[in-house]
Amino acid sequence: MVDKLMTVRDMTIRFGGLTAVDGMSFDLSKNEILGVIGPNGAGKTTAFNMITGIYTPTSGEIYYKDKLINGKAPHEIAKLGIKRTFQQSRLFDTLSVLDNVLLGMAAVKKNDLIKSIIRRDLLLKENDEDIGKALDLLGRFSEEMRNDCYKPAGDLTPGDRRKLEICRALASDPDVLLLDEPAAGMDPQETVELMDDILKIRTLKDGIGIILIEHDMAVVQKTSDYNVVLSYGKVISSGTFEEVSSDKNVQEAYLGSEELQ
Amino acid sequence: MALFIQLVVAALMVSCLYTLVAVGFTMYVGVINLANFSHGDTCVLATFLMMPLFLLFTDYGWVDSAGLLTILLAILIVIALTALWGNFIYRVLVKPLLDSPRLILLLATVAAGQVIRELIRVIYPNGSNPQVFPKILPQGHINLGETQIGYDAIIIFAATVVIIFLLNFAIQKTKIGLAMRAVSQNDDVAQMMGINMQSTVLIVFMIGSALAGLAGLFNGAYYGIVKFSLGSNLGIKGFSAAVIGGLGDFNGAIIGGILLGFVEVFAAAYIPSGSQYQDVFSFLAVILFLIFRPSGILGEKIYEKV
Amino acid sequence: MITNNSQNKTNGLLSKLAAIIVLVVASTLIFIISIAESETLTIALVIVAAALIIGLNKLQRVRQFVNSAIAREKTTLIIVGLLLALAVPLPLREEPYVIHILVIAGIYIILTLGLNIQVGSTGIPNLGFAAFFGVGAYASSLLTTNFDVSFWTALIIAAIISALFGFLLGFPSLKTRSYHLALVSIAFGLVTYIFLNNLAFTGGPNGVNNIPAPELFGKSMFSTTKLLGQNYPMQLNFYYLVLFFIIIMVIISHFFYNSRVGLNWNAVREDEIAAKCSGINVTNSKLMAFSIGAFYAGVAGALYAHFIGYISPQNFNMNISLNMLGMVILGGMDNILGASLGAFLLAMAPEKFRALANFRVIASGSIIILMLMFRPAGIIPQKMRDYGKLVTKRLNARKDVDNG
Repeated sequence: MVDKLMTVRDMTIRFGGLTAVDGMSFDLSKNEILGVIGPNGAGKTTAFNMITGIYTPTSGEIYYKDKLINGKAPHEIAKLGIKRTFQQSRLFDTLSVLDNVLLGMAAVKKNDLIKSIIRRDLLLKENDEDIGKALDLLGRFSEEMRNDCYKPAGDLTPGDRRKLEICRALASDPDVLLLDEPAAGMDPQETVELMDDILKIRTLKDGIGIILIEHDMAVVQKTSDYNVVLSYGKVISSGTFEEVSSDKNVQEAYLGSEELQ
Repeated sequence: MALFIQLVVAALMVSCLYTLVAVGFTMYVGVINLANFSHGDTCVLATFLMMPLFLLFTDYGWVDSAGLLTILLAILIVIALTALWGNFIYRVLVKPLLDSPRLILLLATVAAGQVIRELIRVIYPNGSNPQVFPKILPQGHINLGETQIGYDAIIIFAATVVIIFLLNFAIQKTKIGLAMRAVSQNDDVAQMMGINMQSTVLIVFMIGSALAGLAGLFNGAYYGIVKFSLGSNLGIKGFSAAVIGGLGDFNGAIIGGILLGFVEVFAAAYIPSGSQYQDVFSFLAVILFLIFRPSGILGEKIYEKV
Repeated sequence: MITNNSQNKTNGLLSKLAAIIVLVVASTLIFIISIAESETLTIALVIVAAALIIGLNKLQRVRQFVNSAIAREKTTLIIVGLLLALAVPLPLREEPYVIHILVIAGIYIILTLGLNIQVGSTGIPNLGFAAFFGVGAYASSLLTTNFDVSFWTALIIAAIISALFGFLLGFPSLKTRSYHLALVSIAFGLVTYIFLNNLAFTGGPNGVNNIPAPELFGKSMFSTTKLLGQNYPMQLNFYYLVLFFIIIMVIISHFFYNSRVGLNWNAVREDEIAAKCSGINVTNSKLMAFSIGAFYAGVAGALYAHFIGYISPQNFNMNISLNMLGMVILGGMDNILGASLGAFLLAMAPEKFRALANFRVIASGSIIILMLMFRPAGIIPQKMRDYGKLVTKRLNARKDVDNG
């Protein structure tokens, strides 16, 4: 049973009169990269928001390692081991690159008042270890960011911002990573780097499950093991990339858009 | 019974004031997500513009001879000046800070409100003391059973209702109103559709300021005494009314204004030693709303865009 | 690699000297400006000082040298700074009023440090901070006046009560949206003021009078003191008392800033949603900021009440709140030195420009607006957290490996 990291059954959410996600179901196994694709507005980010606790599903269940996590607060879900990136990267812009990664570890730290004032020896030792881990993690994705780790996050290029968001998310050693359109706005060179980075994540954490929302089909094709297609909040197809891309329903949903190449 | 009617009249007066202030406030929030903490001081500015103007007209004898028309003219002039003031505040204070974090803009309006208040106090002769406000509304009353209802109360109420109604109509049916609603919903798309963001926001500021000015004039006319520091309280109450009704929602401002006015007046009357703690009731109401229903009565539940 | 040890030693000495000179010159300037009697002289000195600073700043080599000197010789600067602060009142034997102003400024430094935790570090626009100041002042003075509690105990109790008030304000403030927070804080400040003004046991509009002097080693702090053989006015006692608490609060602020607590506060300020999804309990973080910030105000309140000897609700109204906000904005958001500087400047200014008292609020309000427009981070803005050797040793190690 522990092979399945996450199981979502009939997840639904209604905002007033609008049903943004309707009965979405899928599984995520260890080491799997699951692609969530679909036209704009299909409800993909909303699904992420439900999994990470920002919204509470109106109905349905979300199981993480056999535990029901519906309605848990976002920080609790992060502590359980689910981390994410955002469509429009949400970094702590006035803080340094290093501080951003250190903050990613908040999920596995206690916000300890006592330690801050009284047990400073513990605090300093912890800092040492944390900084070591943070710099290592940064180095895996960008030597440049590692060496320039005091740079304010707001000064980074879009490509580096994505990398930093991923580093921040990975800093707490999560078992599940949700990536929301990481390739958005990237040029072909950056996209290639991104695909390598996504695959690299698997080498950094054994057994990590990744759910990837993407519009860039090249990225989906190269990285995903399995896919789920959303349209108007409903799952209209699922399978490997080859299967869903040749599915008539999916092609109709994307009708008129050049996204599905 | 007579007391009850008096209280209702008093509550309606307070509600009118709060509604006029709240509407402007809520429009600023709706259109550019701005909390303007100098809004209340715009009300006071209008009162302190009216007093010398009225004195001037009286000196020339215009007030006594042409009576009603002169007073209307004075009111129009002051409202126009206040609207221009809104223009000024927008260009000088708000526009330069639109790209900064909203917190900065909020703090800037707080400081601006302070400066306006103090400028009034320092510039106006004897500004620190309460001033007598001229009687710009007719002074008689009608009899209703055992109570009397002043003409001024009736006029204030009627005028407020008409203005709010007209404004609502304008927002719903005119092109400019459409522009305001569009910018309120999604300013990026509105601009792409060809709506001039600058002029729309400018118009919102002028309307909001004019409403605030009117509220100031009504306040002075009804209570007869004004003080330079009135603005901060009025502004906060207007803000509170807007929040209770639902920030950004026009009708919310109305509901909030009515609710706050009635709570204040009736709580002060019926709760022992209530008048000392009058403001406390309004503020407790706001605090409770902000804990349990921060989106207000009419506001939609706010889902942060993630 | 051969290192030039003697060269390094000279460089080290030079930068120490440079740092000390900068500190002494700055302190002397501030001191002279503080005691200058006429307003014209003060303004002239300020202009000269500002011109000097801005001018030297433009010379890149000077600026770089000074900045790196300051960064490297932190310990030296702190020691020298402390000695200077201890020595400041020595020449002021005949000027009890100047010492008085310095004490008030010191109390405002403590207040501003507390407000800085809420506004600067955590991004909470608290426009009613004076409420906590007032609660601390009233709680401590009611304890010492009515219940014969010693000043020291009363101070601690008052600070804790203030912190609880802060915790209370936290709850309606937990829903996001900066203007909601601002409104709630205003309402809170006003409600507190109204209660203080109307309740019988707080003395109503008359407040609390005849607050007893703190006692140290059996001696009342309202009596004159002997220092180095000379008689000093009683204000001196309070100068060192307040200095003592400033040092403690600065150390506490410093510890929080450099810990996960302070880091989380910054994250909450920058992006609450990202903070939540990174595992930060934003609610707890905010409540901590509210309580701890209020604790500072409580300490300041107790000090204030027992220095002045009488308090009334007027001392804790919204103007005071806005004044303190101005100090944080002017001095530097989320910067301990900056906030202290802002407090010092805005607390001293009204005393220096008494003739312009009428225009005080207009002046400070305008300065704040200008700051917000052109330099919102304040005179001394927040710096990046520097982890020193923890980072450099790792980066250098990698460099050595790369260089072979």
